[in-house]
Parts: sequence; structure tokens; C-alpha cells
Amino acid sequence: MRRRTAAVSVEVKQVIGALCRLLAAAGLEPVPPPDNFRRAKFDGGPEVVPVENRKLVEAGLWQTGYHADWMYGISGGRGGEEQERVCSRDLLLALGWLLATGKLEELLTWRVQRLDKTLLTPPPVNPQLPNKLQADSASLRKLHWLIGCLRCQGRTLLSMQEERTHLLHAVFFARIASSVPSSSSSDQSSAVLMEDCVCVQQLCDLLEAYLNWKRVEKVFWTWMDSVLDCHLTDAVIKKSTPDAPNGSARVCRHGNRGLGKLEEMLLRLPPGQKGQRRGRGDAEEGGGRRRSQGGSDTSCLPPLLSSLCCQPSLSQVYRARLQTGRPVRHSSQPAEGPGGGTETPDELPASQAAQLLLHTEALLLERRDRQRLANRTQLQEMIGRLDELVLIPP
Amino acid sequence: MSLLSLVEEAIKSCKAEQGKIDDSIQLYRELLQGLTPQPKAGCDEAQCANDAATDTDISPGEKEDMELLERALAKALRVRTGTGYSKKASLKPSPSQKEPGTTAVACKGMQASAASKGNQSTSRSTSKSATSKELKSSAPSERSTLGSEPSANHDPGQCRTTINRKITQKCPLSSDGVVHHQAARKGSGSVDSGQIHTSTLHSKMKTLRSNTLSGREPGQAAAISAISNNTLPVSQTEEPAAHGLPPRNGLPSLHGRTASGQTDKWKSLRSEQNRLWDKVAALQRKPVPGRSHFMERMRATFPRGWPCGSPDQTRFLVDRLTRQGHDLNLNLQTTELLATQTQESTTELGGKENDYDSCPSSPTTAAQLRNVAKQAKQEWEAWDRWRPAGGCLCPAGASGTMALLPPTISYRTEAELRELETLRMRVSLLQQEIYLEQAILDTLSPQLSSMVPGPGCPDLSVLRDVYSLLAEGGERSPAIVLDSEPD
Repeated sequence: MRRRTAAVSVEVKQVIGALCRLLAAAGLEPVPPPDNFRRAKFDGGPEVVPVENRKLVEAGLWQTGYHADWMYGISGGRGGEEQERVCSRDLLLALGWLLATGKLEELLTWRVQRLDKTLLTPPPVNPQLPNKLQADSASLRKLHWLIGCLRCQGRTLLSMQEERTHLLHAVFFARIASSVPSSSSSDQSSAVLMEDCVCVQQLCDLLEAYLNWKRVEKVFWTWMDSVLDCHLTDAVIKKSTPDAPNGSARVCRHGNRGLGKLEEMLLRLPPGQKGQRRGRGDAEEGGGRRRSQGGSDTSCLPPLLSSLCCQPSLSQVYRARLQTGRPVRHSSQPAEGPGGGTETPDELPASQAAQLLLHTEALLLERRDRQRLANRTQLQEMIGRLDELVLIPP
Repeated sequence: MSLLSLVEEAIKSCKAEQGKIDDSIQLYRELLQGLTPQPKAGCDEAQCANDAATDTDISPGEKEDMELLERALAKALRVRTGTGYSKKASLKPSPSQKEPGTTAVACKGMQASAASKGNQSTSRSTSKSATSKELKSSAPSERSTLGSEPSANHDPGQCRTTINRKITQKCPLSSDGVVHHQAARKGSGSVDSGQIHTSTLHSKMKTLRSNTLSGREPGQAAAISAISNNTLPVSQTEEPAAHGLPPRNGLPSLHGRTASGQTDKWKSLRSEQNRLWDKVAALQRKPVPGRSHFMERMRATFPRGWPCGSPDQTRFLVDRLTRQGHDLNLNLQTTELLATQTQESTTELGGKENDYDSCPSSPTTAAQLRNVAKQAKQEWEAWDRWRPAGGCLCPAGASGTMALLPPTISYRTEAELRELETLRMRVSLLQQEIYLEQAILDTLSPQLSSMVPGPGCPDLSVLRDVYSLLAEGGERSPAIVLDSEPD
């Protein structure tokens, strides 16, 4: 039994070591040594978090949906010294929660984007429509001009994008092309290559650390269960959980803007009647518009609504990979070309992604044109009503 | 906020995006310069200067001739001396006019010792580059000495200058990179040992430099060869065996110093990266039951009134619902407007009626949206009750929960990748256009409705602009003429 416990504890230490290495590789410094983690399980003693950090910690944890007694403290405690103390086991449980909710993957994604310069980043997203926009007739001319300017910028973007893609492909191709190694060896370009080597090396280390971690992850969760058991047995002695601090008039610095806009939007919706079914149209629409890749988890939304206006636009960062064309391994997807596909099930072929985007583009174009048509008719009608004016459309 | 500033913001973000793309383009160009043999058409000063420094008086035509000659000589050498010698000869890499550094190091290192090791390393790199190394490398040895004896004065003029430059400039970077790699592999965060290694390397480099200048014996060469051979397993990470090999003396690599070595290293790193990504993607798909179990147990410890999900999710949901509702509203308005038009006139609009029907403009959708919005609102209020100081429920900037690493998209031809990226950008620009046109419509419709028939002629230019913006996307303008004829 002792040997088994010892073996288990050695395994746990290794697992935590893997986690520490992963966190270090992801750029989080400093990472406490594995022993601190293990001691935290048993060490229920007080470890005061500095006051200025505490608020950040509490807000950050709340943002992920976490609750702990120490976050809400004993009622009436305003000063730092009156707040309930945070012990290291509490922090360990909070860390477990963060890992479970996917913060690690978020961190890795962020880090990967910094290390790998050949990732394809999404174009910028539109901000939410602000409520009260003003424009007067004097500024219409300028507006017209600005819209034209924007269109020109868009065209420039497209051509620059083409250039970048061309070069990116060349970079990918250079990896597999066996070129004659008599490079120009100008100091400047070699320095860039070196830097990229360093970054890619770090990236490889990061990915490897992540793989090592994933392989032993389940041991970690078993151990965290035991930590939670310790915590629960101690917690029985503590006070019962307080209820929500009601009636606080604390308002986020943005106010209740988000909710206000939602309500405003709801007011403008037509009064709907439950139970009415339109039939074919809705189902088709839901099937026709697929979600964007890696889309959000909106579990409460019915599929129709989640697909409404959520056309796939691949608005996330992704990495492109040049297929060499040699049938190295079997693919579960049908071969797309005569050469046969070497795509793994985890990869999305570019042609498929392009199809999705084409479909999205078609829908958006249709929507835009419809809107313009409606505007046109409305304006024509309106001008028609005005005497002495004849509108000759372009 | 005014409409003008909204558009100006959009222009600004376009320009920022252009800046980013430009940076990427620069980076890729520089990478390619380092990787590919031919210089770009617009040869920049650094490159030209380097060329001048290394090789001043050989024209391109003569260079080609020399390369051909080298290849021929290499073949002859191989034929004459058999395979064994040719292997050794292959260890002497090229004194190609542009990278004498390679020659200097490798000729000192690999010639002196362990031919087999060097050979292994050569064979591990891409076959063509190995071949070209063979071809090119045998030539100088052929030219200087036919024997296998190392010559420290081998091509001294070129080697010396460039080796000095390369050692001092490139060593720190590569050694840092490799040391980091080693440290990570050992599983300890021992940066100290890495620093020691770096300083060891620096001292070694200095000795090498002085040796080069004084033209020393193979003693040093052997040491250098040991260094270069040790680190070859480190950079050749494609095979698992190489991966597991610990570096012999723990000394960082010289291999990455030289230009061709850099290329190979870069290639092998990129291949390794791809391999790792595949593994990561495969692992991502597997569920981890322990994780969700832990989460459930933690949730069980939360108080009764604790809402499900997280504030981030609720923020995102509220934002999405608002946008969707807004779009739905607009859709409904447009459909109604067009429907009334089709009733009045039997034009081509009639054919499009089916499309309108298929749009989700039914009352059911509105009702569904309302229900979900009510739910979201309740959640929002619950989160707000528990919100600590510093917590934020503002929807701006909320992103959907994505607990996955970036996905991979595979492509076969450049055209595919280009199409994909162009489409992405086009879709984004189209979304922006629609968004702005909506904003303009929202802003101007009060003004439009106020233009009732009445006394006084409205401003023609205003009408023209409005029509152009709303009906033609600002691209074309109508003509509005005064009709002075009495009806």
C-alpha cells in the first residue's frame, strides 16, 4: 500500500511537472515548482494574496464563472484584513477550474500566434452598431467621399493579401523543396531566418510540452478530485455559503449598455405569435448555413437562431498547410483529386473551406442587393411624390 | 458618435490591417531570401555588399562555369577514388561563392574525424542538398589538395573573413535557441547551464577564430568537429532516434551558424512543427472525462442561485442576440417593402419571391429570439448580482468560447490558398459594407421620412447623395432633373 501510494505520488509529481513545463513554455513566468502544488493540497494554511492582486484575481475568476467563499468573503468585510483569507488550496482549486474551462488552450493559442508568423489571421471584425448616429446633410458629401475611400482601401487590402499569400506559399514550398543551399547569406536575411528558427523551436517545445501534458492529463484530474475531497472535508467546519450580495448598486463602468441594446432590439421586433410554423423555409435555412469553424458554444440557442446571420467566415486564426501530394497515410475523407488526399480527419481541405466561403459570400451579396433594391424603390417612390422632380437612376 | 467617424474608424482599421499585411510580406520576403539561392530582382544593399565582400571579381557567367566545373571534377574524383573516399569528400561542403563560412567550418570539422557521423548527418538532410553539397564540396578539396588531410589554410581568404563575421554574429542566437531546446528537453528550467554553455561556445568560437587566422592543425579541427557532430542530432529532429539523442558534450550547435545549415535547420524545424501539430490535432478530438467530472463537482459546491455557464458566455450571447435581432428586423422590413412592391408591379421581383419566403422572417423566429433573449437577460442579471469589483458584463469584445487550438486547413496548390484568403477578405469586406449601409440607412431614414411633399424644393445634391449611398453603395449617382412642364 505504501509502495502504491509512493508510486502514485511520484506519478503525480511527474504529471504536475509536465504541467509546469507547459506553463513555462507558454510564457507564464514564474511557474512555482511542482512541490508547491502538492503541498498546497494539504496546506490549508493561510497565504495572503496581496490586496491589489486579489481584486484582479476575483474578477478574473468570476469572469469564468467560478465561485469560491473567499471571493465573496465575510459579509461586512471591506478592508483587506477583514476579508477571508485565501489559502493555497483555494488557489489550487481555482487553477484547476481555469484549466478545466479551457484557459490553457486559450493561452496556448495566444502564444502560438506570437511564435508562428505564418498563421493566417482573420480580417478585422466590425464593432457593434452604436445607437445614436448623427449625420446632417452637410456631411453627406464627405460621407460619400469617405465611403469611396474605404472601397479603395478594401481593394488595396485585397491586392496586398494576394501578394502575402503568394509569398507565404513560397515559404511553405521552400520547406519541402530541396533547394541548392547556396543562399545569398546576406546577414540581414539570415538573421531573420535565425529568429524564425528560434521561434519555431520554441513553438515545437510548446507543442511537445502540450502533448506530454495531454497524455497524462487524466492523472491530474484524479488528483484534483482528491484535492477537492480534502477541501470539502475541511469546509464542513466552515460557515455556510453566503447568499448573493443583493441590492448592490455597483455598476460596471460600461453601465448596462449591453442589456439596454438587447431590450431596444426586442422592442423593435414584431410581436410574434407562438406556435406558428412556416414550414420548409426555416429548416432549409438552418441546414444551408453552417456554423463557422470552431464556433462558439451557445448551448441555449436553437439551431436556427444560431445559424441565422452566423455564416461561416472562418473569422479566426488558422494555420495553412501545404499538402505534398504523396499518399503518406490513409484518410477517412474521400480523395478530392486524382492525386489522392493526404488530409487527416483533423484538417479541413481548402477547397471545402472555399466552398463554405463562396456560399457565405453569395448569401451576403444577395442580402446587400436586396437591401439596396428596397432602398431604391423606397427612394424612387419618395422622389416620385415630390413634384417637379424626376429621378433618372444610373 | 457620428456616421462620419464610424466610417473613418473603418478606414483606419483597414489601414492598420494593411500595415500588418505589409509586415508579413516583409518577413516572408526576408525568409525567402535566406532560404532560396537566387537573390531577388531588387537586390538590396546588404546583399550586394556581402557579395562584394566575399567575392568581388567573379561574374555570374563565370560562377556558373565554375559550378559546372566543380560538378564535373567531383564526378571524376568519385570515379577515380571509389565510394569510400567520395563519402569523405562529401563531408567537405561547398565553398560556393556565397557561403564560404560553410566551407570553413565544415572543412575544418568534418574532414578531420568521424567521417561516418558526418555522413549520417549529410544523408539525413534533404537528398538533393546533400548531393549538391557533395558536388560542390569535393571540388575545392580537389582544387587545393587531393588528400584527405585537413588544411586549415583551406581557402583562407574567403573563409577567414566570413567565418569571423558569422561566428560573432550568428553564434549567440543559434546557441540560445539550441540551448533552450536542450534545456526544455531535459525537463528542467535550468537556464544557468544554458548560459554556461553559451559562454563556453563563445570562448570556443574565439579560439576557433584565432586558430583560423594562425592556420592551426587538426587538433582544433577535431574539437570543432566534435561540436558540430554532437549537435547534428539536435537539429535533425525528424527521426525519433535523433530526437532522443542527447548532445554529447552538451555544447550547443555550430551547425546552425552557417547559411545552408540554417536552411536545413529551419526546414527540419518546420517539418517537426507540422508533425507535432498533427499529433495535437488528433489529441484535441479525444474527450477528457476527468476534466468534466471535476467541473461538475466544483459546480456542485457553488451556491444555489449561481447561474450556469459563465459571464463571458452570457456577454457573448447578449451580443449575438442583439446583432441577430437587428438583422432580423432589417430583413423583415426589407421583405415587407419588397412584398408591397411585388403586389403593385409584376416585375422580375416576382421571381424572387421564393427567396424571400425562405428567409427566416417568420414570426416564429422572432418569438424564439424573444424567448432566448429573456433567458439571456435573466442570466445577465444573475451574474450582475454576483459581480465583484472589476468584473465586466459589457458585450463589447466578447468572443465565443473556443477551447481549441487553431485549426489546420490543408491546401494543394497556391491557387487554392489564394482563393481561400481572397474569399475570406471579400466576405469580411462585404460584411463591413452591409454593416455600414445599415448604419447609413438607420441614420438617414428619419431625414427621408421628413422629406414630405411640401413647399420648397429639397436640396437636389442631398437627394442625389442619399440615393447614391443607399441604393448604389456610393458607386453611382443618379440624375435628378427638374420637371418644369406642367402635368
